[in-house]
Amino acid sequence: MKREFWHIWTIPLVLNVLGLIGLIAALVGNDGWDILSWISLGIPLVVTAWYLTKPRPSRTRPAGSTGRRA
Amino acid sequence: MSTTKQIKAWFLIHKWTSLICTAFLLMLCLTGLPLIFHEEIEHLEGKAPLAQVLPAGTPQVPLEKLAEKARQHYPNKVIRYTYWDEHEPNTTTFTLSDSITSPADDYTLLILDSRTAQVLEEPAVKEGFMYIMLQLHVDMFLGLGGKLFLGLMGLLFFVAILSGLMLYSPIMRRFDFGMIRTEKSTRLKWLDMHNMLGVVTVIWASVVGLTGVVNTLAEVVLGFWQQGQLAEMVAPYKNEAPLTGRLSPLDKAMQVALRTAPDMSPSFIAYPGTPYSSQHHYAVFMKGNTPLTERLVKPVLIDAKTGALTDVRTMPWYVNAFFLSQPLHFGDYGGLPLKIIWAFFDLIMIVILISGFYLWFARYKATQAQLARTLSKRDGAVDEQEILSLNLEKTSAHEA
Repeated sequence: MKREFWHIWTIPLVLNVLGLIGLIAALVGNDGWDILSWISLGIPLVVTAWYLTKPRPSRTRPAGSTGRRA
Repeated sequence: MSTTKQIKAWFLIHKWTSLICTAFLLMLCLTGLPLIFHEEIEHLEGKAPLAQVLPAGTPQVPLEKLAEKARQHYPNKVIRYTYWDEHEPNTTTFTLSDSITSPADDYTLLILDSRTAQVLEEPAVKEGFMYIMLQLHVDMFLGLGGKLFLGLMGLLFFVAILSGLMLYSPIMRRFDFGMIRTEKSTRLKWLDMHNMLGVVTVIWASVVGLTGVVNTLAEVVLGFWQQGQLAEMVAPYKNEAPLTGRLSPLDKAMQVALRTAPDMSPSFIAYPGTPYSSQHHYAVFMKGNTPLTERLVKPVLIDAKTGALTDVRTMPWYVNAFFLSQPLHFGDYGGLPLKIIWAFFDLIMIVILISGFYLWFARYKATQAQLARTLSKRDGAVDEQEILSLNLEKTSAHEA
């Protein structure tokens, strides 16, 4: 149960915590804080783009085997 | 099984909150996109910095002289506010209206050079593409009612985000993050994309959504402040006769304000009789000088007849919360890269909204077809299989 939770939520949680850090950082200060905010808000976008553009099988295969690769 | 019931409940919440708010959210995302870049777009339209370059340290013209110039320019109007646009250095802007009690949307802007008192621009604020985008985004040209309605849509949007989040784990139980089933059906592919895009944008969408809701409460916040803190500050003047004759010069008010809040700089001045002041005061709103405190203003009330300080206070928490929520909605607090990030998130939201609607529509059609086929079957069997198009039962059957 616990393992299942982390299996599902680790990546979404990390990306959203990064997003939150980014949203707050630029409020706190300029320069370095701004750069921190660009990086930490940019990572979720880059990761999303990577997953969206990643090559995928177009032929029918059992869902379990495609889903399991990391 | 109770979990199936819970999932079904969250699904219904997600479906209905989304269905109601999707069209409005789509409009907000589309109009919000150009608004993120309103400064850059205005520059592209050829607006160079307004004030000419003069030797550093060129002295400023007294405020009262600038105000006099504004009154000469519009002899039939009255000044209600004076403010300083941080993006247009060395300028002072006056807001003029037909009368001091005119509705808030009756105003004309006049921008003067603070050092030469030269009229630089009378920006046409109520026309053009950006004006239409802004007005659609703020209240759909429907005034306060439209604004509060959009706030309600924002709340539904937040409920849709939360309920969507509750549906994420039952769907993803058997899969890795980023799973997109391209090989089965268009519907499944879009369902997976909708889920992945939704889950990575939860924080951004929640923050921008909720701060948007807070922004729709501007009039409410102002009303509370007027009834509360402002009323307390000017209580001694409650029974004073209305102001007549010449007012104390603006410059004196400014000097007092600068002395009262030495580590702050002026944001705007509200004239006596405007919603941001009393009948008897200039209200000079001072802002902080750090990135965090520049959003927080402090009202300095100055007797408009004598030019003496009446009161200065720190704004109550709900006003501060309102001002702090603005940058988090606009995305204008971390330079151009942050705006570009905002735009990407906005585009993702558009994909989520459209795919969500598509999924509902495709599923609706499929359900209708299936219902027609299985009218004689047990009701429960249709329900369970149909939840979210999860196909979990089918999938596990295949695996086994």
